[in-house]
Amino acid sequence: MLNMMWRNESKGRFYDPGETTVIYYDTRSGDTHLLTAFAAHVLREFQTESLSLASLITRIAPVVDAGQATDLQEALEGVLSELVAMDILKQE
Amino acid sequence: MAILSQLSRDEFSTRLSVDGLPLKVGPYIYRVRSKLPTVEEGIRALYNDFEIATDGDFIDYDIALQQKGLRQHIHRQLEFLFDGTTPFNLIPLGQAYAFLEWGMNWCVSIHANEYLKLHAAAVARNDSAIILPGVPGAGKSTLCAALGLSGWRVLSDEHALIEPASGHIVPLCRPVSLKNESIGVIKSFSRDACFGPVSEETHKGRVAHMKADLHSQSHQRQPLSTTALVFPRYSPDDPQGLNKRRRTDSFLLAAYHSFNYSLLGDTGFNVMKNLVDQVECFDLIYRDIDWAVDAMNTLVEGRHGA
Repeated sequence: MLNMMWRNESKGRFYDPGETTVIYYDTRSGDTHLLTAFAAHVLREFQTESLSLASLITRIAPVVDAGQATDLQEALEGVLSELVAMDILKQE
Repeated sequence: MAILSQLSRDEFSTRLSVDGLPLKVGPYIYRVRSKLPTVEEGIRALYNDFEIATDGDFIDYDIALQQKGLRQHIHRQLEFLFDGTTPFNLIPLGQAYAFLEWGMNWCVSIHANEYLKLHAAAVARNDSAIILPGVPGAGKSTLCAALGLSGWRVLSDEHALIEPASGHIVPLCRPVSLKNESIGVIKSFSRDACFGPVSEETHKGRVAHMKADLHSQSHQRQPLSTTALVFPRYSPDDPQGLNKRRRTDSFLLAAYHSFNYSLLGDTGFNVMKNLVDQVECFDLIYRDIDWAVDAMNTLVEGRHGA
C-alpha cells in the first residue's frame, strides 16, 4: 500500500474561505465537490506530480498534530479512497 | 414611456387579443397575446404598472395562450405558444392564468444564459439585495410576498439573475406565486395584497399570484450588489432562527438551486465563488411570517446578533 502511486486526473480550482470544508471544482468533468479541509490539503499535494502513500505521509506529517500522527496513514488511505471515488485521483 | 394602466379598456383588450401586449419585465420584453378573459383580468390586475415596449423594440419572448379548434373548446383546454410553437401539453382552462406565469418563468429558465440563474426569490432594502434560494415549498415566495408588503422591493420571485462581470443581481420583478395555505397567510398578513385570478387543482394545488411591483423603484433596471444569501425554510415544528451558515455549504446549495451553474462551466464557478465570498450566508427557519419579516429587517439594519 505504501508504495502504490496516485495521480491527479482532474484539473481543478479551489474555493477555500477558511472553513472546515473546501469547494473543489473539477474543470475536466464540470463536477463540484465539497471536501474536508484535510482532503483539500491532500489534493493540493497532487497538483504537480504523482505521489506514493509513503511520500504523501512524509509531506503531510509535519502539518498534522502529533496526537493524530499515528492515525495518519489510515486517514490518508480514507481520503485517497474518497478522491478516487470522486474520479479526482486515479491509482496508477 | 407608456404604462399599461394608460391604455383604455378597449385598447388594452384589443392589443392583448390581436397583436399582443409587449411588456417590459426586467431586462426582457415579453409579448403576451390571449383572448381569454382570465388572462386579461390577471394582466390588468398584476401588470398594470408595467411599461409597454414600443414598436421596434426587440421581443425576447413571444408567448400566447389560446383555445384553438372545437376539440379544445369542448374539453375546456388551451395551449401555450412560444414563438408559435407548443412546448407543453394542453392545459386545463381553469389553470390558464397560473400557466401564463409559469410559461413566463419557463422562458427565462431555459434561455437567459447570459446570467448565472439561481432558483431563488430576491428582495432589496436600501439598495441592498438579499437572495433567498429555496426548493419549492420552502417558503421563499411567502416570505418574498410578505417582505414586498412591508416596504421591501421585490427583485424576483423565481430567478435571481447574477451578472457575471459585476456579480450584481439584475431585477426581474414579476408577480409572486403563492400556493395553498400561503394565499391565506398573505391575505391575513396585509389587506393591501392584490391578487390575480386563482387557479384551482393545478399540480401544485391552489395557486394565486400577488402583485409585486409595490415599491417606488420596482421598475428600475439597474443591477444591485448582494449582501446576503438567506436560505428560508418554513417549519411548524423547528425553533425559529436566523443562523449563520458556512459559505462552502451555501455555495453547494446555491449551485444546486441554479438553473445553469453547470452549463456555464468555469464562468458558473467563478460567479458563484465571487458571490458567496462577498456575502454573509444564513439559514432562516420560521413558522411565523411576522417574525420572519422582522428577522430580515434585523439583517439589513445591522441588528442581527446585536
